[in-house]
Amino acid sequence: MPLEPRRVSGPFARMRTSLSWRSDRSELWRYIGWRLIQLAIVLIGVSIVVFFTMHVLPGDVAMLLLGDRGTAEQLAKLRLQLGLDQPVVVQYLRFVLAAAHGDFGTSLTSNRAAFDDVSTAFPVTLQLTLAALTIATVIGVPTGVFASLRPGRTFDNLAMTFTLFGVSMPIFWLGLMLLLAFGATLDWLPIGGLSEVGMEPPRITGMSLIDAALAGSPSMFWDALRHLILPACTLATVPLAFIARITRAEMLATATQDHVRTARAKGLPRARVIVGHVLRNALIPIVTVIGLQLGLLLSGAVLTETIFSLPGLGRLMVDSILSRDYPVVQAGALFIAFVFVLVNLLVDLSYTLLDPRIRRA
Amino acid sequence: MKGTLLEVENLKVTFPTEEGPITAVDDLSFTVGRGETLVIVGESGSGKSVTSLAVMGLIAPPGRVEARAIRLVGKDGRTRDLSRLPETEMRQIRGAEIAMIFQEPMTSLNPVYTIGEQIIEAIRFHETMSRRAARARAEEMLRLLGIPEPRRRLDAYPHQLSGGMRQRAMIGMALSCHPSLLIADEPTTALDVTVQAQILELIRGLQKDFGMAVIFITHNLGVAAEIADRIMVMYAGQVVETGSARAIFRGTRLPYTIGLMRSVPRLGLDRDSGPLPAIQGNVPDLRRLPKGCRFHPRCSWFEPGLCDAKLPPLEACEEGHLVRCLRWRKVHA
Repeated sequence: MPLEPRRVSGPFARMRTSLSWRSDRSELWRYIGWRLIQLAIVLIGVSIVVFFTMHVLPGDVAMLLLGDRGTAEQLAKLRLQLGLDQPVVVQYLRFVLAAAHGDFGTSLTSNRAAFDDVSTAFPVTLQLTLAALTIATVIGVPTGVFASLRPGRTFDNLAMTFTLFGVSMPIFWLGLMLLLAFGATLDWLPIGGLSEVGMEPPRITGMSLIDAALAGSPSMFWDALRHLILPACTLATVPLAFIARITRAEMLATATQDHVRTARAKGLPRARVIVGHVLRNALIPIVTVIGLQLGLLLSGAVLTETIFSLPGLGRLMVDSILSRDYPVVQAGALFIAFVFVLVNLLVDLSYTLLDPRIRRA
Repeated sequence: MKGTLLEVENLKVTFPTEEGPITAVDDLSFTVGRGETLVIVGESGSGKSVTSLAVMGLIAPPGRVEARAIRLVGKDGRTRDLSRLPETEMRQIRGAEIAMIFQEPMTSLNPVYTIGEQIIEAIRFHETMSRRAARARAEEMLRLLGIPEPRRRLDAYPHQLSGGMRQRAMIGMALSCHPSLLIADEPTTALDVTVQAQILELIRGLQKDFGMAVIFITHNLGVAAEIADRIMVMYAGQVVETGSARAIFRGTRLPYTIGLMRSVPRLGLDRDSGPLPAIQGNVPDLRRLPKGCRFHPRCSWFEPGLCDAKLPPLEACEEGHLVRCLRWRKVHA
């Protein structure tokens, strides 16, 4: 499941911040180059794992495709056509060669290029993820900050209790309940999909909100927004709780540091000390968590997409696995690995903005 | 000396613990004159840092500060009682009237801001001034502190400077608003001996230039001898001896101070003269203070039935020289 929270506390954050590239730009580029090489290695690894997993699974793809009515002759012909008669290693090498040219094969169910299915689904997931993470950050960080100001007092206790529920919330249940309450019973918000029939904006980016905005249609935009609210809130719950808790913990840890005492000794107002000195320094681990969540959510919010019938990457992957549509599974898995590693690289690079000790060690 | 600058009366700082409140500073009174250097000497846990933080109003809850008064004569000539000042007014005091520098210059500076940003921030909060003028003032401060290439150093981050440079930057930040009182909490402890001497020299020079009083906190009597006008010795949260530096170094009458002086290493001591004398035992646990004189379990002048029966009062053994010992008449170095 994509939403399994990963705890990233001090030592881990420190480990990441100890990456030491030195003063000048060429070091930075060398670092980025090295990370891109790592990315290639990761992609090769993922391709091997996914390819062979799909091929050792029981069941014959050709049989699955033809169903019960296929004759032996038809089966043999299809196997030949798909290259299934070749040894697995040969099949893998063929796949890698083709993939290197951007050809991941044809979807066995939609008959479109496998990668087209993936690239159609990805913007849906991207929009959902960005919306959810925005909600989680905009609410989570201030909640954590305010909770840390008076630890052990009412607001802190409330916030910590709610976020404990938040991190342990089964989101399929939460999603269904929100759907039931706001969609079915109150009928305030649509129960699923990206837009009402007839309100679909012309596809440009694949993200309904942006496409609606580009189309210059307020009614389409409003419709797309209404469709986004419930799934985004559902998906935001766990990261929100997680971000709030991390923020609180890091704020409390930073507040006792010597330099905060110095800031107070200078006579700075409390708000300035809290935002400029405590939060600013606590930001590094918080950004790590947000970045990790971004990577996790992007790899497919399966449950949320399923509950709200969103044609995103997570749902595409599950459907493809169930129907043994292995070209799509392979293209999707590689794409997810690519995005995940890329997001992590961006998070690491963001440290250089936040922490001068990394910028010029 | 031109009159009193700071007068602390009956200061008491307590911290709640699971075993009941502990009194880190107990009924402490002292004064600092204008331009004077008061050195507070004591071991770790004697309450010297807590005292300075209490004066700054920087004791965070659940710590509790009580005092009859903490009177400060401001630059405007008005006398304010800091113990009753609301937080917003206390902020105008911090940095502008009383500034503070700390022991560990690496952790006491914010790692994510440049030296310049941190100094300018302090100046601009207390004085209405353009960023440019504040930057010029900051550069001037660094130059005054003997930092080479001050303009470039303003854009340096703390981790790019050496320990001594950092402490200079810290001092620059503290003095940038021309405070009338500087509290220096072990500012040289984390530094090399040679750098230590430079920083002491620097503080002494600046004190003269700015006409500023200094409360200097140290556990090192050697450092105290360098710069003190007056010395206040603390033990287990109380003042145990106070007097002019001259009176104390010449003729202390307190067994604790004698012990401290004996344990200062000196050049010329060699292995033949045996191990460096140390005061036996440890600073008492503030939750389980010994009855009577708080130092008696470690004291070589201890008299059973007397010292463990009654807490000694501060008595004048000579004009302006107070000791907290029941047997001071019999004590000599």
